[in-house]
Amino acid sequence: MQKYTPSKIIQLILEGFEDKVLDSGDLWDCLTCNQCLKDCPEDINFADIVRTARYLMRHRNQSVDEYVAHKGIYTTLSEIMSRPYINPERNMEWVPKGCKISDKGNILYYVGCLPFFNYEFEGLDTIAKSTLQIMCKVENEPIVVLSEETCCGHDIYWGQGKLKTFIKLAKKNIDKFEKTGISKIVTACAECYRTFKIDYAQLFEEFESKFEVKHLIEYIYDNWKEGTIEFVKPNKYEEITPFTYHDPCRLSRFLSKENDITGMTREIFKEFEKLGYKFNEMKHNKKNSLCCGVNSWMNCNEKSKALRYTRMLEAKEAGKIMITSCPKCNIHLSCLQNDFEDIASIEILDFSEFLVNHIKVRKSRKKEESK
Amino acid sequence: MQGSVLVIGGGIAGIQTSLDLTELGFKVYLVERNPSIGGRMAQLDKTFPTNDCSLCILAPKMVEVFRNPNIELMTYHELKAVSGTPGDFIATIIKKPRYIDETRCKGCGDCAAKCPKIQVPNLFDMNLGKRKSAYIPFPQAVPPIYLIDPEICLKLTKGVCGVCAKVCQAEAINFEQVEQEIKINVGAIVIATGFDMPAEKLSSRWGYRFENVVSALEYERILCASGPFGGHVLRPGDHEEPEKIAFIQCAGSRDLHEGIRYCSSVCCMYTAKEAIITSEHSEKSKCFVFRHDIRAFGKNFYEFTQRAQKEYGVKYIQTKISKIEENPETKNLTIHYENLKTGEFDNFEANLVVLATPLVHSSGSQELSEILGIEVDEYNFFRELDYYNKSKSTKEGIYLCGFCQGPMDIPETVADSSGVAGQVAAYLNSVKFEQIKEKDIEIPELGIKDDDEPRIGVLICHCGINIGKYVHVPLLAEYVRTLPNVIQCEDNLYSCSSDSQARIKELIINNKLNRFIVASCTPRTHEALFQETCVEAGLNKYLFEMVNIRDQCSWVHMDDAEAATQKAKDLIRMAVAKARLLKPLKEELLKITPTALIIGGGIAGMTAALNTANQGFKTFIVEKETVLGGNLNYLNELYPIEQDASDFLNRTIDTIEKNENIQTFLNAKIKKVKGYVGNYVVSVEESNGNVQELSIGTIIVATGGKEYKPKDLFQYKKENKNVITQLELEQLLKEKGKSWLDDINRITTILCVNARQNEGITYCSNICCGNSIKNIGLLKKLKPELELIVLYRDLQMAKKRYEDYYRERRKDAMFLRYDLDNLPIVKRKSKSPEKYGIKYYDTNLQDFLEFETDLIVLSTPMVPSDNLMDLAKMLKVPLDKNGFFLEAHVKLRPLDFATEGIFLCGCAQWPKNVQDTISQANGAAGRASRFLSAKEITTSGIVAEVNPINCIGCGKCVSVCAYNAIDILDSIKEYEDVSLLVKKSFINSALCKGCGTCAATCPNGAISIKQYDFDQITAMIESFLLET
Repeated sequence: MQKYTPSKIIQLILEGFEDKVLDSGDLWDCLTCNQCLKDCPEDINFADIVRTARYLMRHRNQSVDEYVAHKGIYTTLSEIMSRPYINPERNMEWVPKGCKISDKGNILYYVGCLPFFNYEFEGLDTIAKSTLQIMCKVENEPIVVLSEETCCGHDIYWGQGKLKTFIKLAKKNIDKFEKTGISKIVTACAECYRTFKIDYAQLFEEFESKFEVKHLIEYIYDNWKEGTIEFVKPNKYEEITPFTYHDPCRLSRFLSKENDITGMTREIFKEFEKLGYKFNEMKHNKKNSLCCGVNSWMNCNEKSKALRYTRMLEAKEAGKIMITSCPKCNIHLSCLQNDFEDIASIEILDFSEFLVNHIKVRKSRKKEESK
Repeated sequence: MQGSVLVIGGGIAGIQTSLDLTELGFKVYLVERNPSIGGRMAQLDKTFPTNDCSLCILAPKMVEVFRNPNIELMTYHELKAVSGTPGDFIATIIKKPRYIDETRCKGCGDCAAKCPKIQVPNLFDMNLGKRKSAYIPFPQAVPPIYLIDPEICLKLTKGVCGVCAKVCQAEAINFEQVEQEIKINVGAIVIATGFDMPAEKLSSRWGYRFENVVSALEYERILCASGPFGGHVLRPGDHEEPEKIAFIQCAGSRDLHEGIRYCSSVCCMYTAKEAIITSEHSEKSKCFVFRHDIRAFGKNFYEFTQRAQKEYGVKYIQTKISKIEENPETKNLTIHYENLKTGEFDNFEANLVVLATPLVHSSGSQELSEILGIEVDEYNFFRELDYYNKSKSTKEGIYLCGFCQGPMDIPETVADSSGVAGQVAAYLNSVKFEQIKEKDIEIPELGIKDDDEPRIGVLICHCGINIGKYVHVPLLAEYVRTLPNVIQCEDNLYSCSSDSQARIKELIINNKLNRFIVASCTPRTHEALFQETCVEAGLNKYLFEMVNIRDQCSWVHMDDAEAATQKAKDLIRMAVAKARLLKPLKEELLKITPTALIIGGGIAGMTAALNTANQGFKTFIVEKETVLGGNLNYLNELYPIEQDASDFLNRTIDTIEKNENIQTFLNAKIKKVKGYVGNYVVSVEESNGNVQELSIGTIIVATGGKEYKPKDLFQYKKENKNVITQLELEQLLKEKGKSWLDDINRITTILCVNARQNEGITYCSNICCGNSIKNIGLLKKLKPELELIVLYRDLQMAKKRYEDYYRERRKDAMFLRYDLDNLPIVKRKSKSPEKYGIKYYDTNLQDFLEFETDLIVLSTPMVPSDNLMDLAKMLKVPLDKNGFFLEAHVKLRPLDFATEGIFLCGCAQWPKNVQDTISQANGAAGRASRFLSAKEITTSGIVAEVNPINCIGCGKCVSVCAYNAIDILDSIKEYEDVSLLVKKSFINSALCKGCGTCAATCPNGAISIKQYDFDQITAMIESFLLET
């Protein structure tokens, strides 16, 4: 049971009693989903406060061990990658035939840590495959995909408040990006997206001007609006398939008001109604979306399971397929399906997996340039 | 330059400014896009803090607008375009088709009665009630003309029906009507477009979509006797009486998430009022107010909220609301909230929830701003030109009035409207009265001889259900017809409506009546209206008598209809007895001296003086100090504009000195005030002992206020140099640079020191919160390392820019909340260096907290200036229980005194900041210059008269006259053998107010009051006791 409520926590910090707050350890419980930000009349970003507090709590020798899931192996991997003498070498077998990749170019597909999760959580490869296929169709040049890609640092940063490690990872990444000569980064992971778009931009002055960051959703949306791609090939089932979308917190509440990824998805889904699908919103949607229950591998406990179960029940009511655009949401929600039969029938698909077979390139970029 | 003004918007702001403008000499075009004027005030049930019925105090003004020959009332019109230049605008106005000819419609309602039952939600009832396609927005609509909704009318959409045209006896239905374009030429434009309350825009957590959650305006309609539920407190869903009603404050205002950054300013007060009225309406319903900061900063406002809790049992809980959910079976609401006092989270089940939703600009403001070429500010209100003059828009010749500029309540709006009128008058001074036409008395007054047989007409009013529900009016009318000398007796639904006035005139003329009685509501609000109607029919207004069968009968005898009806019979019979003896009275014409006297040379006095002077009237300022400026001399900087107070002061004083129409007396005082409105003789004693006698037309009181010194409270003592008041802090900040802060590291400000108490100073002084946090900001700038603490109870930041200002200041200091139950305890810890220890109860820790501080700043309330009693006696004006001057009516006449010819503005009325003071000063000057512009006025005919034969000159009458209207004069009486020096009492009818005290006191019965003489009163008593 929490000792202090959020408004009390803030007031205590303002009054100079942050010791009480930090010593109570309450802030380890927070999922940093920022549902509280949605309604806050003063726009207070509580998740940022929690992240900073975690940094301070660790320095008071509070151990993360009882809160982190899977014995902390995933965050440990990130930490290892931050060491200067470690250069990961990722398995590139997942790259589909026919997709041309390179280590120098204009546009980077930042895969993220998917391949490392694949041994325990199945089927994550298809996210990377689908995304790369989409990009290869659209772009007429090789896409940069780095086999020595380093973790973006999101989980280390948010889950454990490890600022220094995060900065080390960031510097490594930026260094690598600069060597490739890219100007554009596309990712299919909501957390990597948020990290580059906001956290890297905040900590490193020139990042924003050097690299344009897009989530796959934006990438597809922009291309669709420009007329480069269209949505084709109706649904393989004869009957209309109802589906729904789980907005990841990092793509709804964590973005600035002008960044309307939420709206973009809805526009795309409306188009899909022509292809034999029916889009239904879940009870909690868009900025009101529920958290997937776990953040940065922290707090996977019974409360988290209850939260996920609620979410899956909402999904069941809304459709046969649940789309999401964050691999973590995907993992955590799928994981629950192992425990409960009644929600196991829902197909959880990543945005890229859902769209990859429905995208057709109308006019290739090369033709455009030669006109 | 044109001598006419376009006023856009017919709410209370538009109405008041139009009325004032005509008296100041300008023709007014009043354009209102709805079919009736009245605006939001017409939708309210009662108004705070007097709990007057809103429409009752508004309707007379609405009818005054309608009957005013110099106001062209253009309802159901909209402004389309404006061209031309300031002083010479050309406005294109669209007249929307009513499909009913305005010149023929009598407002009888036959068309609506026969209109088929296709009903749509009634906008006036906030969509809670329904109306048909042929309709009138509400019964007291002005003008009382029906209209047809082209979207649902069967004839206009499908070409069928048309029944209304068949039943309309006046042949007013015209389905061929089309939109018309009208062009008018005006000198100035006033925007008075008011506000909207779009509750549907709120986020879902407030639960507005649930059937038993309503917005405050919807609740007003529920409470209103003429609303959709007939004044029964029922919930919209199932029409059940709610046992627990929850009022939610700050439901969306002050909320960045909802996009409303400011405080809507009036909700704290209207919620208390709604809770009080609910408690009066219904035994069963219990009211709970979920409040955050209470902002009750106006006159008598804070005591009103306290009364709600102490006398009416309304429970106030200090909370923050999480969300509101609905129980799908019972349709009750569950409110999830945090109790800020205990820190606990809790759920509250309510049967009905009333949300105090944000008040925003009227729809169409953006388009209007583009048509006019003026700017809109960051909150979407119209932008004022600068802080010092919120009435001016960003374009010359276009003025802003009321809520369209920023949140304000009705008294402020009324004052603002008068201020705008005063400024427009100064702007268009050269063309005053050019387009004014005098009121034509079509029918000259009929001569009535004393022995003429009385022919009495009686009109009995149902007043909707106010009278009609409790008194059997038709039975009453039958009875009255049997009384001798009653020639005609009728009853109707609303005697105050304009068509009723026409009926009264008809009755008088057709039946050759020479007395008229209306039995309805209170003469306080409606006597003047009916008297004017009689005059228009050729009947002297003193041959009219009013009987109050509402306030004094139906309202107080709701539980016994039979007795109420009998009492009404008695009351009317008594009135008829008196009416037989009524005589026509003459009113005197008084000339007005075109000069103004301003008492007090602070910013209020100076602003008022500049206004009257710019209208061409010679103005005198009498100031008791040696310099002009009043409290402004002690202020350092003004907030939220962060400008130097002395700069502004010096600029203003410069303007005063350069104005040829203004004469200033410094270090002077008022010795004596003789005379009466328009004809004062004021003796001013100058600094050198000389006494000047000034001839004055009107007087404006602008005596300001002063800071309360909290002797011995919180260690405020002479020897404690580091415990100071806010004004003392202002001095330090002004004069001492920052060296005095060298040894000071922590400063604690305590707000509400000796204010908002249970006894003594019970009021909220309005300005201290803002002033304190302004100083916090300045201190932080001077020395950024300072630790600043503010101990507060509620933070008063109600004005459009203040909430954002407060947000910025929250970064500078630590804000700790205390309440009246647990005052902070201050002890002196050491003498040199001075250090203090403060102990207070921290609600976050639920425990006491102690800390040390180097300097303590006490925010104390503003109290009235010294020696006001003497001045009040001289002017014969009252002071209220707090010692501030008491205005004529807190709501609709905030700048007038009950005594005619004297006006009030600034902190002499109530503590307020510089911006509001300037607005009020312009308002008082506007009100005053109505007299000065008129050149002559008429006095009342109801005065006391001495019969010299019976007068023995004892002088008792002189000693009891409150208006100093009586003198004992010597006269010599010659008889055959001797001459006698006799003393006789003489009453000045211009000063006499007809109160009757002298008549009651005179031992010889030598004094009688016209209209209430002994014969008349005896007749009434005999009629009651001896007749049936």
